[in-house]
Amino acid sequence: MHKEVQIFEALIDRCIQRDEKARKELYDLFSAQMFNVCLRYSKNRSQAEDIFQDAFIKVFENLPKLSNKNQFPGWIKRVFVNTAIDNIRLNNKYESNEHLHVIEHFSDVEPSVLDDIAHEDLLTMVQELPPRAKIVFNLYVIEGYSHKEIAEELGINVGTSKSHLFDAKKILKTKLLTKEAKLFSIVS
Amino acid sequence: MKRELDPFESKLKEKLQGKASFPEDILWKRLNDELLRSDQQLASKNRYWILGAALLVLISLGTGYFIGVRQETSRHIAGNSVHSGRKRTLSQNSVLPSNQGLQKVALPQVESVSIVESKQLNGNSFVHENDVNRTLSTVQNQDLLSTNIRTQLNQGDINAALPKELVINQNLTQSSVETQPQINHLEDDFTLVKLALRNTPLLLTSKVALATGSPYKKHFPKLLSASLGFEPTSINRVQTDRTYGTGTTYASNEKGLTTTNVKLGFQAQLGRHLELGVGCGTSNYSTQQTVQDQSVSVNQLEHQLNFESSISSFDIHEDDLHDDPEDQEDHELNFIDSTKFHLNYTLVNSIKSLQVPVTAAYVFQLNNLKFSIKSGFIYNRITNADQVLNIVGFNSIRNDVQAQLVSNCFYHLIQIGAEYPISKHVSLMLAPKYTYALKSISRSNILRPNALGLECALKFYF
Repeated sequence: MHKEVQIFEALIDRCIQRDEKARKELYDLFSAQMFNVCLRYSKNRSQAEDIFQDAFIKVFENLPKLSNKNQFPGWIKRVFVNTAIDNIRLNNKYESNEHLHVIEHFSDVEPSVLDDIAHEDLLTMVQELPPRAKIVFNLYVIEGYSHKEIAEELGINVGTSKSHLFDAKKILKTKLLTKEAKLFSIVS
Repeated sequence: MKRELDPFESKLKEKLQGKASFPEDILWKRLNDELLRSDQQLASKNRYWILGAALLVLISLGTGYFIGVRQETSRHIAGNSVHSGRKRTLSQNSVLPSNQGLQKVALPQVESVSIVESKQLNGNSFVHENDVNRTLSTVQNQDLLSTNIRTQLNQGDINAALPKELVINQNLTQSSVETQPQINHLEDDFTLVKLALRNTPLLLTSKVALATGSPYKKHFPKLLSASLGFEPTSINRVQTDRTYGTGTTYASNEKGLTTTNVKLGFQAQLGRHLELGVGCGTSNYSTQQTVQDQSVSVNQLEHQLNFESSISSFDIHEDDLHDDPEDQEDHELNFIDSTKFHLNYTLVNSIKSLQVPVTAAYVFQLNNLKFSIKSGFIYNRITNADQVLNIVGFNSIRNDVQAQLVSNCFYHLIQIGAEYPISKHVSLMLAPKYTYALKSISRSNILRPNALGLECALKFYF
């Protein structure tokens, strides 16, 4: 274990020295995980690729500033999340929020509704969330932030953060039920 | 405190993290190309820094060498002039037959320049330069040793009057016959005095300068000093990685505001060219962004406006927008049907800090001016940070953003300064300076304030 840490630290050092091979190794180690982060925050694959590239450039440029190399996995994720949030904010200026007719009895929706849904379909539903609701949903459910931390991160109040999460879940449940209904009708 | 996800959230998380999507291979190629381009830019930027630093070092060394040479020459001249005077004093006043012989034979011109007594000097028509007489007589009048010598000479006790270390050529005090090389040496000394006095008359007219041996200690005689400075103007910029406005690191419409800061400093000069300093002061970084017809996104659900700024993005709720009573026009924003508004507004970002600089400076003096090239680190503690938003037609709204910033951080300082003495203990200093944050002061993104300012200070020498 200790040896693995040393190898990883050496890899980071080589990246700091702008070693192209080391960069590729680091990229291969984290690209899949980070690409999924980007996909969850973006509205489509194209935007995810833009975020992915921007974030990786930031990672390589700011590597020398990383004081503790053992914290790299957490740090890189934070860079990707922040880059994604900034990208969403930038693009959000020029697009309208989606109007969605949501159901009111969504609290009755069982988690089992997710059993038959494909990963890609669920990802698409998340991508289609309104930008702010999507950010809060990802930060709270996937990244494990508290509402207080989200509020500080986004410069909003805690109540607003809760409200966005509420909206995100409401929209997702509506879409899941709609999808389930379609599947049921096809089967029957 | 570890929070719990509800079953639906847990299931969502599990499902979303259950399968990985891989980026296409071409993404690495694009990324690598971009990184290589960035490396090249960085390398060229580094080259400029290295060239600039090398140039600065060369200028510093050149100036230092030049000053050093001048100081050495002046000191040598001052020392020679005093010694020459004493030597000639001996020669002129000596009652010894051998010295009389020396005057007549070896120094026909030099002996006509009577350097011993003021009376003789003033009345001597053979003196080549008036300033030579004045200066050398001044030396003798001011120099205690010289006075002692003269007094004792009057008593006729030459041997007792001349400590050995004060006499360069011991043979002058002895009754032996002078040799030609020694006489030539005396002539050379005096020629050097005349030449130097012609070239640098200002340096040797200073009594203090000659008495202390250094012509540059006229107005900066002590080592410890304190300064009180004001920084009446500075160009503040906040460098950020946030992409907004034109998509560059700076918003094109964000300008630095003039601010006033106060600095108190203490300096200690170690040796001839090194000055260490410590101090404390205020720092006020202030930038203003004025935009016309700016598109601002609307959160319809929350009835909020989302603004971007170099420090952070922030939301303004509809309830916080109150009509400006001084504005006659009624402004109504429709949060129900709009996805964006076009607004005219001014956003002022302000970061106030207390700073403790620790500096080292290379100092040198030219005539009556003292110059310094200073570098150092500044401990910076943010005391207040806010954004004030003035939307046309509405009351201004203030946001405290201090929580989003790192309270304690370090800056780098580069400063050049020039001092002019206005009295025996006080000098006026003007010093352009550039400071920049060594690390981001933001907790979430890259935010490095930097400022170019002019420090005006009064410096008191103890």
